[in-house]
Amino acid sequence: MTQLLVGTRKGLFVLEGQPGREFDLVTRAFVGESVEFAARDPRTGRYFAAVTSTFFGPKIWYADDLDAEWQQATGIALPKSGDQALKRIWVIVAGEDDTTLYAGGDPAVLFESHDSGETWELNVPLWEQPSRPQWRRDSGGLSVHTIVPWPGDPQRLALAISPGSG
Amino acid sequence: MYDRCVAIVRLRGQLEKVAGVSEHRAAGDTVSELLQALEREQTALEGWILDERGQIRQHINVFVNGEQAQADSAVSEEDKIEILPAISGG
Repeated sequence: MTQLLVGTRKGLFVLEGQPGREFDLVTRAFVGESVEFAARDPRTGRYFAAVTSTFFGPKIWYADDLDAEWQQATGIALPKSGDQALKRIWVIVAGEDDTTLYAGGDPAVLFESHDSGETWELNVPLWEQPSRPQWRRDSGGLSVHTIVPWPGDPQRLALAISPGSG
Repeated sequence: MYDRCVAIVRLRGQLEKVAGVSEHRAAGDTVSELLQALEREQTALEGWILDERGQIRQHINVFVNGEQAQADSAVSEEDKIEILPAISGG
């Protein structure tokens, strides 16, 4: 059985089926909300969804069972009283160790979780990267859109940041 | 005891669900101060109404005694504050 998590501007659709055959819709969540990204962490089986609410802003939600209520992860925010607000979370990726996850988003921001995605914290070195003022956003934003853990080395990470990904 | 005006904030829909209460008494002399107090006291609401800059999210409307208000609108004792997402569809 193959499971597909499909994030859309109308919510999350979960489909199941056999490759090459018709898939069935088994679950919907976040009806009417923009689901930017969804994934299942193969290490824990936990599901994640990055949802940008038109009204309430970007959040990461998690669930251990698609039939259970989704829980809001905490810590997905930029420093308070600054001049920027988080616009969206674009990608969520499992790290090289057993519990670390990374999330990238706009404005060119990286978050880390070390408890399987329940709490997150801003990656300060990237946020305070000296060249950041020269990074140019365009109408599509400026986002960390690709995160690649370094195989065999949990301390290394490759990121891609570019404008126009929104 | 509060040393500022205490208003009654009414929460509905998803905000009520997140906070777990439908009403909360919060102190502040302006809408902005009151919403900041609300988020401090109902921590589950942090980031839902105000963004990191302290600004009211774009599609959130605040009404004071039935009149639409802005962040710097004054709040008086026992005012009734409604926080409502914009109505959308299509």
